[in-house]
Amino acid sequence: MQINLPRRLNRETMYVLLQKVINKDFEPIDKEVILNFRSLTVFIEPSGVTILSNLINWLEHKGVSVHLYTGELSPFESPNKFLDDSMFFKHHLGKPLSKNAHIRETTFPLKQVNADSPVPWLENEFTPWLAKQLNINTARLATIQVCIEEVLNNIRDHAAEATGCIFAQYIPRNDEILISISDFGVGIPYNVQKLLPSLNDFQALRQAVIRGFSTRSTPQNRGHGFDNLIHNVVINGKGAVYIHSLKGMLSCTNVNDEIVYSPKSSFGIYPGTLIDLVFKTNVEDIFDIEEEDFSWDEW
Amino acid sequence: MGRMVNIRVKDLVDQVYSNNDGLVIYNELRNQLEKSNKVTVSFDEIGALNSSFVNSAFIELLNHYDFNFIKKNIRFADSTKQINDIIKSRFAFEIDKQKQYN
Repeated sequence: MQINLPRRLNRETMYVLLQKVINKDFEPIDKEVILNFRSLTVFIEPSGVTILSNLINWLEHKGVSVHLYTGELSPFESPNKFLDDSMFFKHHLGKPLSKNAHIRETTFPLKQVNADSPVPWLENEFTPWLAKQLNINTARLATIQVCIEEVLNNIRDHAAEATGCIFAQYIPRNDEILISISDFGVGIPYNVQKLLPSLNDFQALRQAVIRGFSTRSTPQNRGHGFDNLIHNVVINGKGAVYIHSLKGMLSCTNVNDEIVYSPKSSFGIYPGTLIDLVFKTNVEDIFDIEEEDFSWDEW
Repeated sequence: MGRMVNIRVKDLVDQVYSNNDGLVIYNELRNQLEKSNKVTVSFDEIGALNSSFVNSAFIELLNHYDFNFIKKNIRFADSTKQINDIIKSRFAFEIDKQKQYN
């Protein structure tokens, strides 16, 4: 079965694609899928790199034979050129489409990360890359590193597949960093619904981020990872967190320095979980690592 | 009579990522507290902590010790605003929860 990618690929239009390859029982529609990249002509959001990669990983994990049809790569700026420079085709085909493919300075290329032990990668690759983009000391990125750790700890504890794919893009004109992380595990709603079966997928996503709610998948889990993540990104980073998992979507945005949670149902099924973190780079709090004395006095 | 002991987190663990990393600190804290020692935990060379580490290293202590005992016998040094915020916020949440159930 050949599937044309949408002309524009972002978090919203991805469901058009997902509906064509995943049926209502959350199974692949066909045993062989040809993804036609020639129809992706207009635009791809940075998280599209993670979305496509995760979909391919999920299909292959389900035993589907996946082929990528790309045709000739145009030398001009295009979504496929962006994917090629992001090392997407190198990752999935073994080599880039073009011999001129190069990692753009503002791009952190697609990477599979083992959620059991991501710290060496974070400390030696990701954080130095981001420090270089922002021209700051790596020590000032400790809170951003913690945000990624919260996502990866969640994958490790809940996804059943302790691997995530990560892609990041610095967008200087918007003073923004986008970090997109995805896994093709069982999905957040699946775990929440084991405890609260009456919730639908978007209600389960909203429940999952309530401070103190935990599925107790390990005895030490206490339901504070998402709260810590969202507070740091949305309040301290003046940014946003977007979570897509199975048939649920949850946006966590900053309105007048308060977190606004907007859960919604999607019209397709996301295989696993996608978490997009958007940080503003022109704010102070998230980069504040000044020493501060600890005191129990307020108790 | 106990004594004052310093624990530098980075001397005991290479990273502060997982529950298992936190458990290393927790075990050392239990070891010292059982000897009636007071402990200063130093976060030297650490800028921020995630919730899994804080849960396992410090919040688990509430299963064995009263919060007043923890406040009296553990202090934190070489800390940052993010570290202080997450430790305080995690203890505050658990203490409120304990009050609700008692």
